[in-house]
Amino acid sequence: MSKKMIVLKSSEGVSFVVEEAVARQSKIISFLVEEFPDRELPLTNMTSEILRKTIEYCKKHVVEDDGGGDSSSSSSGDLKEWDVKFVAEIDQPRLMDLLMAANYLDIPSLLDVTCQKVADTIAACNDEKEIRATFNIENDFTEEEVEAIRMENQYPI
Amino acid sequence: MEEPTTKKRSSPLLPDWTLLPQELLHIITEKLDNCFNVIHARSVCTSWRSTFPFPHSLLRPSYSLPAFDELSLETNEEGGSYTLGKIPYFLFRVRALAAESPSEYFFGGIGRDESEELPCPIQYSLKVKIQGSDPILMKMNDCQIFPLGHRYRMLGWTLKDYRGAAFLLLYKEGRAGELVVLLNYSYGKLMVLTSAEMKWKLFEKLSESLCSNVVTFRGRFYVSFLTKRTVVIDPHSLEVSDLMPLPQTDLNFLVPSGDDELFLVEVMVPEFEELDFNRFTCNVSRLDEKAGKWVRVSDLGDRVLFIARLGNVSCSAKELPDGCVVSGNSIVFTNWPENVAFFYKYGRYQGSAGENIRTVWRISRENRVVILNTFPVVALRVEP
Repeated sequence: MSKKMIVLKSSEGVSFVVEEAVARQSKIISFLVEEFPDRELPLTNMTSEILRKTIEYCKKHVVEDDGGGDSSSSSSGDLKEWDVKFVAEIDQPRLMDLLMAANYLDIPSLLDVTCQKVADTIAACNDEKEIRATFNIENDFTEEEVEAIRMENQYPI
Repeated sequence: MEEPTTKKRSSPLLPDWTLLPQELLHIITEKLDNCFNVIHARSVCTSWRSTFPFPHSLLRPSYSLPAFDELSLETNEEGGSYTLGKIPYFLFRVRALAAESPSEYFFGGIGRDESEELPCPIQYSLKVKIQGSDPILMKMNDCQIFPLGHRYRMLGWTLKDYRGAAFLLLYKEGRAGELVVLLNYSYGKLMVLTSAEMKWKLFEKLSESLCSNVVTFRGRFYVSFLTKRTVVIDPHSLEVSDLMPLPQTDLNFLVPSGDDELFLVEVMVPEFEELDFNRFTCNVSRLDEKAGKWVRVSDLGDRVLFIARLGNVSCSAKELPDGCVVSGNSIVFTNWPENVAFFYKYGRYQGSAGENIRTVWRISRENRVVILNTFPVVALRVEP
C-alpha cells in the first residue's frame, strides 16, 4: 500500500513532498490537510532551510501506524539522544526561526526542545551582558531602570 | 560600543529575539532550572523584563512584630518592633574541578547584605561570609543550586537570641489572614504571638520544658523538647497534643522534608567516660500524621538530612552528579562542637568489644565532612 503524500511549499516557492503521517505531527497541517485535501500547502513564513529542518525532525518523530501497535520509528532513548544532537547542531540565528516554526505549525515536542535550548543557553551565560551578546539584544534600559535592576539583583525583595 | 551593535543589527541573518512572542518566553521561563537565571533574563531588556515574572521563590515578605522585654518577656507597651522575615533557602554546591577533589556545599537563605543574614547574590556571584575570614565570592554559574523552600528568621538576631521561629498564616472565612508565630527564644523558651492579640506570651502549657526545635509541617506546628517530648500544636486553637512514642533521649531534632515527610532524629549518647561524638548513634522516625505517631525508619530514600543550628534541612541527593561524594539515605550533623563530621548511615554497629552488634544509624567512615562555618551560612567540605 503506498503512503499518502502531501506537498508543502516554502517561502521561496520550493516544494517538499512529505508523507502525510509525517506532516500531520503539525496540528496546523493536520487541520489544513482535512480542509484542503490534495492541495499544495503554502507556508509563506518559512524558509526552505527551516522547513527542511522541521521535516527532518518530524520524520524522525513519526509514529508508524502499520497495524503493528504503537511501534515508533525509534526507541525513546534513541530519540532523546537524537533530539540532543538535533538541537545542538542548530545555531543561534536558526534557533529562533525553528522555534517560531514549531510554534506556528503547532508541533509541541519540537517547541519543547527548542525552548529548552533557549533556556539552557540563558542558563549558561554568566550575566545579562553575556545573554545580550549571545542573543544579539540591545540594552534598552534607561539609567534609572538600570539602577532599579541593580538594586533588585542585589536584594531580592 | 555603538558601532558593533549597529553592525550586528544590520545583518539579515540575525533574528530579533526581543520579538519573541510572550507565550514562548513563558515556556522558556518554566524551563529555566533556577530562579537566579530568571533574574538574569529579566535584566536583559525591557521586553524580556516585562515578560519574565520576578521569581516567586525569591519573594521575601516580612512582618513587623512588637518587641518584648528580655527579662519579663512581656510585650513592650512603649513600642519597638522586631521583624520576622520569610527567607528563601538554598543549597549551593560548588562544582568540583576534578572528581577526586573535595566538594564544597553551602546552605542558607538569601538575604540583604547588611543584615548579617546569609549569602546574597551580588552581580551573579554569591557572597559567603565565613567567620574569621574575608567573604568569599563565588560565581553562581560555578554552583549547582537546589531550592530548599523558605525559613522564617528574626532579622538581625543572632544565635544567642533565639534558636528558631515558625510562622503560619491562617485563613478564616471572610477575614484577612491571621498570623501565628512560635519563637524558640534564647535557650529554649517557647514564646507565642497571634495577630488577634499582637502580644508575646510564654507558651503557658509548655513553659515547663525547654524546646529544641520548632517547625511547621502541613499547616501545623511541631515542637521537640529537651525533656524527651514532641508535640503537635494546632495553630487555630493552640491546643497541644503529644506525639507517641516519647523520644528516648533529650537530644532530638525535627527535620521537615518539604511537605512530604517530617522526620524525628533522636541522638543516643553512649554512657562512656568521655564524650565521643564518633560513638553516637541515632534513631530516625517519620511522622504518621493521621495516627499522630512516630514510625521508625531505616531508609530515608535519596534524602540527606542536614542538622543545623538555625534550621535543619532535607535535600535530595538524586540530583547530584554521579561520583559526587554525597549520597542519599544519610544524616550530617553540622551543629556539634567538632569541626569534622561524618555521614550517618544505617548499618551494623558494635558499641564496644563484648557488646551486641546492632543495626542502627551510625557513623560511616566513607567520607569526611569538614564544617567550615555554622552560622549564618552552613558551609561544608566533603572529602572523597
